[in-house]
Amino acid sequence: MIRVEAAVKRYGILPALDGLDLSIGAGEAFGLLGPNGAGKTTLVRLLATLASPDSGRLSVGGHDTVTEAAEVKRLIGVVFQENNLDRDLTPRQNLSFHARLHRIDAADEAVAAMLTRLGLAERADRPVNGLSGGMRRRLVIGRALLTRPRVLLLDEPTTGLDPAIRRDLWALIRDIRDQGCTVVLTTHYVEEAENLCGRVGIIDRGRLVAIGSPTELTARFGAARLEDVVVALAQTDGEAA
Amino acid sequence: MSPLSGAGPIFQREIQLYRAKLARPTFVVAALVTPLMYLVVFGLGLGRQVRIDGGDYLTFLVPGLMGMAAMHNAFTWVASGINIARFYHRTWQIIMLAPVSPLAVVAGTVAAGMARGLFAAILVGLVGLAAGWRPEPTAAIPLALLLETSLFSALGMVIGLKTRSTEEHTTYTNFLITPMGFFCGTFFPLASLPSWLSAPLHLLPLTHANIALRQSGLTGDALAALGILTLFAVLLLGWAGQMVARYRE
Repeated sequence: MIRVEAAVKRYGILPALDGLDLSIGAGEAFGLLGPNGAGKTTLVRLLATLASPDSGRLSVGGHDTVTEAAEVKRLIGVVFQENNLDRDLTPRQNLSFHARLHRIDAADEAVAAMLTRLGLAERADRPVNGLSGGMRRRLVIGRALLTRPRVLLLDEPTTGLDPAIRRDLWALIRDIRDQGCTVVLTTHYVEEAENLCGRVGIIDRGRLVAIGSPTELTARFGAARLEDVVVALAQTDGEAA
Repeated sequence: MSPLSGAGPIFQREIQLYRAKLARPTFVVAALVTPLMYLVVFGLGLGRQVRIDGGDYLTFLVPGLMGMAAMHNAFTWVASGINIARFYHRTWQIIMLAPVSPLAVVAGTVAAGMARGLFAAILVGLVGLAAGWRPEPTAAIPLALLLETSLFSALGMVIGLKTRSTEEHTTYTNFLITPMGFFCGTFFPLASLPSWLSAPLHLLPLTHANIALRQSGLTGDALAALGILTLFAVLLLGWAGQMVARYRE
């Protein structure tokens, strides 16, 4: 479903991605682990068509992310790190805008069903400004799901949320995964990747330094926990991705 | 699929955001305070001592203030809206991730900018009428305002997409939009300036908007000014479309 071939992306002289190769199958839940500045967010932006690689090629569902961006956009749902919502508008207005922009059939019904699924039906017509952080996060994820994407890109979806809300969102993501959607998840939380993903890749300085199931990786590196593998392999710190 | 598919939702969202802002009385006052201040200070105060082309100053000033309000509101709303959506709320990504054409993005955004610019110009015009301004009914005024708001909304898109920070956006307002408001014939006729200064001012669109707004009918001068505004609008809309098509983060 997703192929990344020798992808290079530089910001200034710094390579955010440095010849990265990766293949993710349809229906797979794949986790990307690595420190700040490793290149995780850059990879999500490239897959989402918001940025172009300096060299190499990325494709989603067989469509090139540069030359067939419109086709890629029809396949993906994206959740970025920020709660990128119109805060003066209501949850219903935020979802309706997305539904109409993507020409979803029976948009009003789809929006109402999503608000119910997210547990936001009672807050649907009050401005987003008044929602808690967890509610906003649910809304952002729900918006990405409105189009029934075949691929869901989640960039640090639970960063900064308290453990109870994080577990609540994990259940939502698990539900999406179990429905056959391909999920790509970047995270700093190793237990999040272990819980949700069948395979994980460890990325450092724009390169994939290890890939496999959590069990395989811990066995391969003789570590007690996956977190020890990540700490041992990933050295980057403090550079913007 | 129509190339304009998606323009409607973008326009509707912008208007919803505008209505949410209008619900705050301080916002409306802040948006109108500058043109109203000029109207009171120059039109009702100083203006009573001044006559231009045999007419009173209010008749000269109000169309200029309408043009200035239209320019400021169309440009600022679009440019700062995109700037904030890109760098603060990050909602511009939502539009860029949708499978809609650059034409639809430009059409929806510019139409919303036009609505805001026209709203401000009409409010200034209503205050002018209350103060005693009596314009000749002519199609030149609405045509000029439509073209002016479209071209400044398109310019707002270009600047909103070009800038890399909020500070850079302020620079364009300070060095491009504000001087245009003062020098393009809002407060005095360009004919009163030396030719070395008035000639380059004819390269700026607000000059031609002000010329068209002061005509008593669709005269030759009005048609020429409207033609130049159309040319500006087409060029800037094309530029905005190109910026959207090439947008990458």
